Amino acid sequence: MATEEQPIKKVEPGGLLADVALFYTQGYRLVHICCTRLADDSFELTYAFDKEFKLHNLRITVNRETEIPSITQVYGGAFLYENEINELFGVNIKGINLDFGGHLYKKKIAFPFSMKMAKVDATCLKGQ
Amino acid sequence: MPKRTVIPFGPQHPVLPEPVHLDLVLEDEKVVEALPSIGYIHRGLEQLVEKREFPEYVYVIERTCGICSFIHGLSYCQAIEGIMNVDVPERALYLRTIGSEYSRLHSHLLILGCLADGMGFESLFMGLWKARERVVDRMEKCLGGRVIQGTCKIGGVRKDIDGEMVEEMRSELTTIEKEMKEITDVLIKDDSVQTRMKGIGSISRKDAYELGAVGPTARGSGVPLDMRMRGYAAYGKINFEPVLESAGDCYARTSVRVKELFTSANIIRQCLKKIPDGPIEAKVVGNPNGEYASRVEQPRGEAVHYAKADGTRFLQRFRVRTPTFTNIPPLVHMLKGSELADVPVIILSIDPCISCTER
Repeated sequence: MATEEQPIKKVEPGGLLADVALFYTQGYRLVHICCTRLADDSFELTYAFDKEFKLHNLRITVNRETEIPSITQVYGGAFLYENEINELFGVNIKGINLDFGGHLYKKKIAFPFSMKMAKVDATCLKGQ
Repeated sequence: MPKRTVIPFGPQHPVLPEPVHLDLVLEDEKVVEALPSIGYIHRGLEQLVEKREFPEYVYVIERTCGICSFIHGLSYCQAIEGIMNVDVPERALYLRTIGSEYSRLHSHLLILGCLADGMGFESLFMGLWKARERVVDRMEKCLGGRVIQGTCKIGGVRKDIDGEMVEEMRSELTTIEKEMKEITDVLIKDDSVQTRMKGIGSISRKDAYELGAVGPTARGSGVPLDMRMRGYAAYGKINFEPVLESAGDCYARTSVRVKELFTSANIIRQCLKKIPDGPIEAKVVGNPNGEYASRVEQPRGEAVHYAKADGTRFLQRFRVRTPTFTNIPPLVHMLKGSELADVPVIILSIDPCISCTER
């Protein structure tokens, strides 16, 4: 299968907004934001953009304390991605245009995707 | 300033097949603000990659949705095949394309029926679902299941079709198209349907694009966004054009779906003509190591299946971004300025699938 080139540019959290704004001015649309928990309990956030079926990614690596600026001032529709990442992983995103304050999903425990599933199961059972 | 009232809409509501909640802020009967709320059925399927080996996770991902299950399976397989550089046999690519287009027929007929029902047009609902029944019966015969198929696997497909089946499918497609033509003519040409949908829930091309609309929601506003144009599976060898409308209202989105029914039938017919002989699966050895985002066109629009693997049998991360998830911000935009009575039709016009969204 011919796989699609999907370049990833690594950026610092402080420089994220400038790069996102550049994609916006070039006419890219936001495809998705994906958060991945890494082995050292830090998080990798990948912002994917598309124009004419070409996918480009921006990537930042952060820990739970790092404050990340919301990109909703550039892409207004990003609020669902950011609320989801904030609630499931506990990543600290500031300035979301529609902030659900931790109530987008009805969860039994806080930040369930920030830990291994075995730990999620154990925590849930303990609470019963 | 007129008095403002907040009406909670959903999660249980007669027109909503699945639970989504909206706080509608009204001035008289006009919606001035809509605040969406999801999360009633979030299942955490993405995290199950920690417990299921990557070849068997395809069964989990198919259960994300009861309508576009086949395409979820296909896209997941494509993500793993993208990481592992698997060469899928051409016959399997055609079979995957046929399965995808039957799913689209089934999904579009289903939501058009729900839309008719939401407008109180019960007989039209029955007619559309009657046509859909023939499609899901065919899916059962050639894919192995009406709702969950389990046909796609990493490296190809599990189920082949023989020459007799191809002939059956060809002749049945003519019947399906005839039935669809008769019933969708009623939907598209009926005065009361047009009154309920024309000029309702409009979104401009610019707003649709910038807010992330995909699928018929984007194409109804003239955004030429159709992942099939990327040529995944066998789409690169098929002649078709994405269906576009420009009005951006409920009627335009519905018209896109209606025209896409016939595009899908045409794609299936082309596949049946061009499908080559040969194997239907490639042998896959080893474990994936790397990352890849597979993008496909589901009936509701672009879906992204992102997989990241570290060389073990279990993926490090798997994420699905479904079309409804990204169609919610455009929906909120459409609702502002609409009449309360039009809210159900506007919601149904984006074909919301909350099961997918909550994965």
